[in-house]
Order: sequence, then C-alpha cells, then structure tokens
Amino acid sequence: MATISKTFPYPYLASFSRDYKTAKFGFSLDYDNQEGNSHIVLSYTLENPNLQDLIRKNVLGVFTVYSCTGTALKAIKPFAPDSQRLEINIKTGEATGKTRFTLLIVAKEDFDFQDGDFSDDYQDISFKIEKGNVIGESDDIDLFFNHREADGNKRSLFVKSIDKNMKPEDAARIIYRNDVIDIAMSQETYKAIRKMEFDFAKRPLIFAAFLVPALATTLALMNEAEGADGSPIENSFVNDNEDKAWFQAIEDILGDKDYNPGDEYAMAQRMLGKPLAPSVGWIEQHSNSGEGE
Amino acid sequence: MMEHCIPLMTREALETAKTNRNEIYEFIKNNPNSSKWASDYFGEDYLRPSTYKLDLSFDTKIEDPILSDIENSEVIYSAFSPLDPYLIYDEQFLVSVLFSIGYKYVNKRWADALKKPTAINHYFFPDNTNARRGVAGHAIGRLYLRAKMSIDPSIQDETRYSRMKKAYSIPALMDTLGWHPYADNQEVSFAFFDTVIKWVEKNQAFPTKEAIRALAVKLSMILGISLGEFLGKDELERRLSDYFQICNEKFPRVNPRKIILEEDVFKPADMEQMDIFDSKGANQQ
Repeated sequence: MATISKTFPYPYLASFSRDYKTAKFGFSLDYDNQEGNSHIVLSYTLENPNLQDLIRKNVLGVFTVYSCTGTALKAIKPFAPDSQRLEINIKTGEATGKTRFTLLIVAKEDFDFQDGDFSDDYQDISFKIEKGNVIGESDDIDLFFNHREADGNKRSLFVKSIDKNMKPEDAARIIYRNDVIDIAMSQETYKAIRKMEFDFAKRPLIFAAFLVPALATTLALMNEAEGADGSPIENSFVNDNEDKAWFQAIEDILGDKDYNPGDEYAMAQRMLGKPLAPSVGWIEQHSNSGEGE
Repeated sequence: MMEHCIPLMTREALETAKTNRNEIYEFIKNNPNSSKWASDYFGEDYLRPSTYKLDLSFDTKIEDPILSDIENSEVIYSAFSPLDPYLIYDEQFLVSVLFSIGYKYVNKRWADALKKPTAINHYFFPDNTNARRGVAGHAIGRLYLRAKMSIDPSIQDETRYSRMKKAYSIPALMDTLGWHPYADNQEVSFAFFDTVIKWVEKNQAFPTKEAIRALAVKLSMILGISLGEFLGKDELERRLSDYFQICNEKFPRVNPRKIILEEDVFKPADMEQMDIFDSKGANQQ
C-alpha cells in the first residue's frame, strides 16, 4: 500500500526492510458476509518483545488502514492495546473492487527509541520518534468486493462496442477495459448482432461465434505457467489485469475448478453454457428449411 | 429544484463513446446545448430507466465560474450524499448524470477547456483505471469531491459551506488538493484548507500557486512517515502553518491584490484599497 514512504529517518519494521535482525510483523484476515455487510476479523502477530511492551504501555499503537480504489474509501481503525484481534464491518456499497488492508505500528507520543534487535548499523543509537510516526508496517492483504450493479442488472462479463474506424470486413478485436471485456467491431456488424440478440433462438450463435473465442483467448492469457522449479513464471497480462472486475469475475466463476492449460476453448464453452450444439442445431434447422423451400 | 429519475447509459453506449472519442467530440462541439444527437448515434435505447432519483438541477448561467462552482457543488453534494459511494464513483453513473441533466452546464462551464478535443477524456468520461482520479477530473464528479473535501457533515446549518466557499475563492487551492488522494480524509483536508484560509484572512492577500503547491509537498512529506488521521486536524495544521509562512516568503506574490471576505467568498477589494495595499506590499502587512 502506498500509505507511507519507503525511506524513514529511523529503523523501520517491514518485510522489505533490513533495519531489524529478527523482528517480524504480520496479520491474517477472516471475512464473511452478514446481511449484505462485510464482517472482517484481523489478527496480528508481532515478534519483538520491546515493541510488544511499548504497545501494552500505549506508547505505540497498532492500526489497520484500509482503502478501496473503487470508492476512494479510506479508513483507519485502532487495535486495543491489550488485543491482537480487531473486528470491522464495511457496509454494502462503501467498497467495490479491490480493498486493501495494511497494519501499521504508530507512535502515540514522542519518545526516544532504541531496540536491541536493530541491525548492526543502528545498534546503540537512539532515535527521536514523534507522535504519529509510522515505525512498522505489515504486508498487504487484498479483498475484492463486487457491488457494481449500477444498471440494476448483474454485470456482464462482455460488452460489444462500435469502433467507427472499422469496416465490416475488419476483424473484431478484444479490448480489456477496467470493468468488462469489450469486443469492438464495425457499426454494421454491431447492428447485425443487436438485431440477432432480439431473437432468443439466435443468441447461442453470438455466444459461439464471438464470446467463446474471446473468453478462450482470455483464459489462455490468464494462465500462470510454472517454471521447472514449480514457481510461477511472471505473467505481465495477469499483472496488468488482476485488479480488474472482469478478471475477478472469471476467477470467481473458475473457483476451485482445475485449470488445464491447453483446454481453454472447452473451458470457455462450459463457462458460457455450451452454446456450440444449439448453434449448430439452429443452423442445421434453418439451412434444411431453406433447402425445402 | 426538480427530482429527476436518472436514466443510465448502457455499458455498450459508454464503451462505444470511449472507443470513438474523436467523433463524439465533434458531436459535443457542434451541439453544446442538447445531447439529442446521442440517440441517433448510440441508438434510441442508449439511456435506460433506473430507480435512482436525484433532486438536481444545475446553474447554467455561469456568470462567475467560482460562484457557479460553489452553487453547483452544494447542489451535487446534497443530491449525491444519500447515494452509496460505489455509485458516485461509477463512471457509468457519472456519465449518465452528465448526459441526462448536466450536458448543457458542462459545455458552458468548461467551454474554454473543451476547445481541446482531449478535454472530453476527463471532463466527460472519467478515467476508470483509478476511480478517485476519474471523479477528481470529471466535470460533475469534481463538484462532489471538492464539496466532500471541504464540507463538515456534522454542521447542519448554512455555515457548513463556509470552508468550501472560501477554498473555492482562493486560486489554485481546490485544484491543488482536489487531485490528492490524501484529501479524502477530512482531518487532512480540513487542516490543509484551514492553514491556507487563515493565512489569507491574516494577510488579506492570495498566496501564489507555487506556495500552495509547496505546502502540498510538505503535507505529502508529513504523511509519508506519519499517520495523518491519527495526528488529527489541529496537530496537522500546527505542523503546516509555520511552513506555509516560509512558503509565502519564498514564493511571494509580485503584485498582491488586497482582498476582502464577503459572504464567505474572498473577493478583490476596491481599487482605492488595492492602491494603498500595493504601495505597502503584501509581505509587509
């Protein structure tokens, strides 16, 4: 979380910092939905007796800072000095999309700070800490909320849009928007599809011809391959898109199902209700009736 | 004011508009008073009924941009406050409000800025890769955000708008703070606004934008290592005030105009007072 700087005029406890020899600070998060509100329980662990003591004496405090990029929600809540557990509730609609939780250790008063666990560079040095200074942070944990129902309907994974620069013979292209996967096409193609959508029997054709290939392509791009040592290989497509609503929606649909690389086309068909068979049936029925006329 | 049932622009129309921005810009430029062209372009059903009702109408006279912004911010704040935040930060909602109610207002208020085609990228269509930044730049969204940064919701009478009116009338103040995410916390934004407002009241002159930007940098430095929400408004203001005096000494206004406060809005004083003031110089007050 870009809550705070990465350079501090005093030793800083964080996973990216080497200012302490052994101290560790982290937390776990449990989440459930109660009557539409999100109930979240945070529990932290702190491995440093000196810092634990300063927290008990109320010289330091532990706070959670949580912020949502979708609604500009930013809030802080303090842990009680004698508790490593905190419950918070987020009302439906306050957050949507990625909501990031971080824990901070904050000075509640001015004091001179020394710790036997400081790295050798800082041993025997006393640092003047001011009230409000952040002296440590945990790694972040992200939750994803989906309250985006501005149109009153369940949000679509795909939309079609018109690109006026495209001609009917041009290939439609996929644009990965923030909320949706957009299939951009010429105005003529768009109008023809809109006309087809009004005929319920023709909808599987649209799914089979446009959406299945687009989803299969996307699934293939989302695949995080493993290297020889079993560690995931950096995937720039995932890095660029994992915060987006459609990415989360696909992950929600996939759930715990096995992801088989190379099987994306079949997966896409299953996710979209296997539209190929009814499409072929419709074509067959109408081509036969055409022959008979 | 009139209560409007806000129709929502379809997602497909929105994406089509964003894909064809140059063409949309031409339509907007050629039709500043009415969005009827959009029905022909996107299709008759590009706006669909919704259940969202807003008590909302815009001041479209815009004789004075500052007074217009103040009035419209009050209106938007009152109309949007009962809504869930996720809706206010939703680009589909903001664009729908603009096309259905705010179209004429936005074209008139931002007529100069909209001479550049790229201006529709944020005034009309918010950047949806970062919801807060999108709202901060959007012609309707910014009215809400600036009100939210400066209105104390715990005050119920008209004085709740006092800080907002003063902040709007100090050049560069809203523009500087409006883009900063840390302004979402009112302990922080109130401290920043009040530091500048108190300096203006004491010195009866406007600071330069460089001085205000330098103060914003100082605030970033404080919040870079401290938890501003925990420090609270008074402590933050204490830490900012002395520094702002230094900022104004470093970036003095060359020809300061004396200003007076009328109905919570800072305005240039009359010519006679200005001459007296100029002969003394702003920093000798």
